[in-house]
Amino acid sequence: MDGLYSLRKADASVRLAAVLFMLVLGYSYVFAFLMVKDWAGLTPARVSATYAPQQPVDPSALPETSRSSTRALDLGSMHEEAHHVDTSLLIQDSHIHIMIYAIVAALQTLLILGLDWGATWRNVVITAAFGAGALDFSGSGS
Amino acid sequence: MKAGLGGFSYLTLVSGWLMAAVYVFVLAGTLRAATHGSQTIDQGEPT
Repeated sequence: MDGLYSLRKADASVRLAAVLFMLVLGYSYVFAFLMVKDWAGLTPARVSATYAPQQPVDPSALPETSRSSTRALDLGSMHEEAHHVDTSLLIQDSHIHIMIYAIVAALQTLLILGLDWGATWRNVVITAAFGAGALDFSGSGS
Repeated sequence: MKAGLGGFSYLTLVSGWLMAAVYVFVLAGTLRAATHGSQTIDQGEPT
């Protein structure tokens, strides 16, 4: 049932490296989760709002003259502004994120190939590992 | 807000949970293999 090799029978150093890789990867996922929770959202509505295209300012709707005045600022009455991402700049993130997703998926595949999983389940998880990274920017870049 | 963005937002969220699920399965498999692995020390080829 083994894939490429057997992780169970591998040298202790190989198993140590495999466990440490997965633990540190999980450590990074904790911060990824916190960042997504605070800056992108965990619900479809919040993700949509974060990546919604901004409406261009209509110059004709602006007044021809302007006035300025000074008012006292009440910090307690100010609401927190929702974070918004300019989707036209997302290519700066996507090109490096998707590459890292592919590298992490490949490293996880190396571990999967050493587990005593059935071939079907092995292929399902390998496909999911690569597919998840490819899907990530589908909601924000379209 | 763009009309079609809602459906794609689901895909983005699904990708996150899928990534987490893959991580959990691979971590579980790796820990199981590591903790139930061979205790023998490779002494090399017999001379």
